[in-house]
Amino acid sequence: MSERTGTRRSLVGLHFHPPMAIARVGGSPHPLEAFEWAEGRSAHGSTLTVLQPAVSFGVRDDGGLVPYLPEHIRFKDDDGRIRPVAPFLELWATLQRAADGGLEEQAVTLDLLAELGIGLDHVALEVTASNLKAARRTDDPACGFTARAEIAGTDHRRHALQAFSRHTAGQVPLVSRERPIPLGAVQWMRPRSEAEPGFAEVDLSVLRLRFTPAEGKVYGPPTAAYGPDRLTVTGRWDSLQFFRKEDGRVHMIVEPENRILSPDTVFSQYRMVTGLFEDPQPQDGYDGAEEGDSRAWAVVDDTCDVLITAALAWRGTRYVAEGRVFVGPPHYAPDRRPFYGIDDDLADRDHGLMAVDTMPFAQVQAEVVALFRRVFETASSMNLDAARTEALQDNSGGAGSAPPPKGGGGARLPQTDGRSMTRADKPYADRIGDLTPGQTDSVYSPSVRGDTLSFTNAIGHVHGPLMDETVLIDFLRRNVDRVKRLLRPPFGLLGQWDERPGPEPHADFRDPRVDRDLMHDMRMPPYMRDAYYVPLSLTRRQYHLMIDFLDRLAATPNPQPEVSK
Amino acid sequence: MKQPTPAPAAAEPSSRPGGGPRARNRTARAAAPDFNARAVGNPATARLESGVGNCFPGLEMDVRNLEGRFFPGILFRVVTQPLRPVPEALPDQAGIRLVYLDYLNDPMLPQRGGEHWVQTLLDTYMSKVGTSLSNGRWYLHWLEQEGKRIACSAEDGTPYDGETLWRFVRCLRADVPLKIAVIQRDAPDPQPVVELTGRRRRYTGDDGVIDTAYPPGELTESMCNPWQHDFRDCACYYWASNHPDVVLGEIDRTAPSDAVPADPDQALTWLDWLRRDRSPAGNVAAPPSRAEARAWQLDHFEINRRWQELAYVIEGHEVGAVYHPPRHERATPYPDAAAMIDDLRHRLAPLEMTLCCAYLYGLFSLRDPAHDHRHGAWATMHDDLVAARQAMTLLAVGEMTHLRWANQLLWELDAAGFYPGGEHYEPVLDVLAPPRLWLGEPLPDLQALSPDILRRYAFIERPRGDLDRAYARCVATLEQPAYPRHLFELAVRIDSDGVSHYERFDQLARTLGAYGAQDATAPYLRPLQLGTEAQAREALQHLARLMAALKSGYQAQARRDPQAAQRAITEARAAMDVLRQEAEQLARHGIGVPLFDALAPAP
Repeated sequence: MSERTGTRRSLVGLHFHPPMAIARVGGSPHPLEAFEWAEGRSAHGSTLTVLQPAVSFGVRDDGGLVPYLPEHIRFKDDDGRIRPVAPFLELWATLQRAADGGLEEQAVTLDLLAELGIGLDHVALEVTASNLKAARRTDDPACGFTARAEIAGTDHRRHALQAFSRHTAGQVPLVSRERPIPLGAVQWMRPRSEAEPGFAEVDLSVLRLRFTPAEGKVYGPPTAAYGPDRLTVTGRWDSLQFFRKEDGRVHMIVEPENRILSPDTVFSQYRMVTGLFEDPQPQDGYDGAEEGDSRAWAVVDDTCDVLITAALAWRGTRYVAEGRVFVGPPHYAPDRRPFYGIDDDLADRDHGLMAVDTMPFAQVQAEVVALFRRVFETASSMNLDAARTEALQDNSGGAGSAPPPKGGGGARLPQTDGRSMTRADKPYADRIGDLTPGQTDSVYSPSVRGDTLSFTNAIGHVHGPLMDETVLIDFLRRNVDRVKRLLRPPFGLLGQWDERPGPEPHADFRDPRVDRDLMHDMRMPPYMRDAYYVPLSLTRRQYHLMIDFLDRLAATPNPQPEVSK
Repeated sequence: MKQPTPAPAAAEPSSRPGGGPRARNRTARAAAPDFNARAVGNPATARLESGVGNCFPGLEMDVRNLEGRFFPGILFRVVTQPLRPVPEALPDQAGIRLVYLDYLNDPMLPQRGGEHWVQTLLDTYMSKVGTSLSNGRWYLHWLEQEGKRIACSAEDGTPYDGETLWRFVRCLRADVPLKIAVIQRDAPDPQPVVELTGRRRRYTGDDGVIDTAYPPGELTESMCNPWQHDFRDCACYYWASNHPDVVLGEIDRTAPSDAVPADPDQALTWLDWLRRDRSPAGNVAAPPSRAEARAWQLDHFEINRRWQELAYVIEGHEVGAVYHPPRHERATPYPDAAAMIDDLRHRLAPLEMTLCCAYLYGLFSLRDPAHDHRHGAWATMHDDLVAARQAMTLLAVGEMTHLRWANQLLWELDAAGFYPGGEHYEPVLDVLAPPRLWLGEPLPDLQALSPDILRRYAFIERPRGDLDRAYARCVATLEQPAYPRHLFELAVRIDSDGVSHYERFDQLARTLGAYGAQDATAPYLRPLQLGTEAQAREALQHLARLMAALKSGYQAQARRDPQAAQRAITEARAAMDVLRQEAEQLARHGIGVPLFDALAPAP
């Protein structure tokens, strides 16, 4: 029975909450404590995003959780080891009310299991973690490595994930079963009914799983001992032009105790750009790519992505919840958020445009304000001078004929050479000329002592104030057409494209077959690279959010003060 | 029974409105899965929104790999043209290649039930066609959706590279009929073509999880190996939020807020976050290009073992091992709105204009190395003057911006009904009346930027000094619930914006103090004397035009006419440009524009 509804309920489905999470490696045995993002409220603190400590869990020896609220956030231990992000995933249920068929969702707790007439022994979990990076490069499955754990619902021990290479007869496994690579650990926490004093709002009877990532080590064959690293950035140039020249500092590649991989796999023969392998892009993303003939040192890391399956048996039916964890590096600027996150990328693929016209205005405005906050949080740590130089060099390196000066509809396009983001880049450049008075028609910044990064310094003056709702909305109202012009259009849907494109870009969307659409210019976001090395734009959803919001702003005459909070 | 797990409370909403977990029904969840649902005990950086999307190849997952299974039952792979193919390499590799059929247990292709196209597709896979697709080299030939058939080759027949074709797939819509064709490239002409009809996969399910068609490891398989390699080398520049390019040095956050840093350079110099040497010997300005920075950065292999030495960064500054949440230091609020408005009108806004004029005058007192090459024996003077002029420009622009925001506070307070009865907003564009005192101490008059004057400005702008706390009372007042929230944010913005002025002036004093005389005869200064109205007539006319435009703009804003406001701002910028040119011309002849006299309040 549900005390809340007073009716019987039937189990309809299970899911994890969150459905997917990110774990982040760290060498410390102590996981990073919980925190939330909040808006600063202190004078002198501006309205920056700040970290607010949140309820965290200590883990008892029996797998039970003890909630507490930290006073501060410790990112590293005193010995310098980074604290890993070890996320919890809660098991949630969808239930149908007998009275009216309505659905409701709640966490699976001991009480809910009792309501359903089952126990923890009706639950089973399976966790599979794999690293297939070497397998992908070599097209040899035996160069991947996988760890699996099967956990009964009553088992609250910590399970180490020891990965080794699946292989068949005749294949050489990169990672042997006898000397596996640890990919972290998983633990099905012990739920308990009694609350912790002072934390009555934290339900410790919720069924939770915790994934702890590995320590961030690298592994290799015995040959991956020491190697030189060239002190030049090849990147856009053909690094094999220089393969006879071996210079640079020599470093240990893999610690001796981690040189446990087989030296006899295809991975030790891997070389990029030869056509013998189907290189993932960027093709030079492996140790050994930049030296000599680009032969791989066959080094792997201990990251992975994980599929978690929880099965609950109820009335002869198996209900399954699936969740994923992706293991990545530390987030070194944890009070900063990308403006184009993984969530935005997923939503852009699967969901249509936001219905700006019908959404409450305050809600739309809040989305726009949130986007600009994240824009600042990304831009404020960016070396815009270096990015500009590199992007404009990319333009000149790939240019065939001169780019068309105008796009679809006759609108003048921004400059793509040294005039980009200077006074000469009209009508796109506005204040930047005043903020970088020494900048000439050059892809390089005029760096001098005391003013080495003039474009970078300008970011705070331009985007810092736009973090504030009042300043931002005021700016947008006054510059509707200019802001529209300043936003780089996203790539259009296939159904929008011409079957054969012309040389001029379309005004409202980009086409990957049009050369001008692949050139960097000062439109926003400027000089950042998209997947596959072309200029970045906002997602389609974000772009049309902005365009539609600007139209809505322009259509609202003499607006009264708006407060979205 | 306990209640459903509550969302943890935050002092202020996060950037996502309503971002906490919601008790929503399945339909609502399917419409917009909450990828960022919060669970107790997780740091915010465990959420997908903390990971950078748009991968090349990404840090946490490679979202591009979703396109590998865009079409149900098939794994495709993006293949790019090899730059240096060896003789034994296969020819014509570039494109999107069919790796293998994988229709058994594909969630989009249930063998029982399902839509008609599902059954048709399964029948195709299970037929001889499927067998043929399992042999040879098959590549995507064209895509057709919403009435458009887009070829995977250019008009001359040259196949597009795989990178370009990935974008074709990326631009498909889910749940809309899709036809594709694949062609067998290693077959003799005419090369076989197979057409298939289906739908683009919806990559995430109702439960917010990426489709289980993607086995563990596949969504990260194309990422850098090891990940530290990417950290050392990536040049995409979109992930500075997670992996900063440049940072400011560490500051002692446990020290009293009025403690001044021993080295102002540390507060102002952008450091390369990837620098190898993190001692004072390595804490130097980051170069403006990746190529110049390379030799001083962590190397490949080295970063595999030293990545934990990289600093965490909070508010743009490197921090130590522990982050302490900021302390709230509140000033005493004004007794009422009228007192605050009076202070804004007669003291704070005029102060901004006064400082703006003083800093502009100081800018014009500096020699311009672009026109004045008399550097004498000082090899460094050219660069130091460039940097100093840039700094003074930004300071003056900053004060002008503060003036606008102070006026904005006033017109918003008027609009919200807080003005005293019978009074309404009027633009404030005057300087402080003589003797231009700030809390009993005289502000410097219009002066050349000698080291002495720079040190006086630094003293005025010092942390916790009276100028530094000028807006603190506004912040404390507007934080009260009676006032619209957005006014509090605006006051905080003004209050915070001048934080680095002290370090800037201190740095300028040290830099320019190295050039001989410490007074107005310093060799980097123009011999400037305050001019008369007659001498500066043209400049003063431009100044009047500027003030008129600002007044018009502020008035337009106050009456909610953004288009008129923008026209006025454009006019103001144009006037400012010619004023600067004229003032520089006068300064080259030793004449300073009498800005204070022109902007003194009416008696």
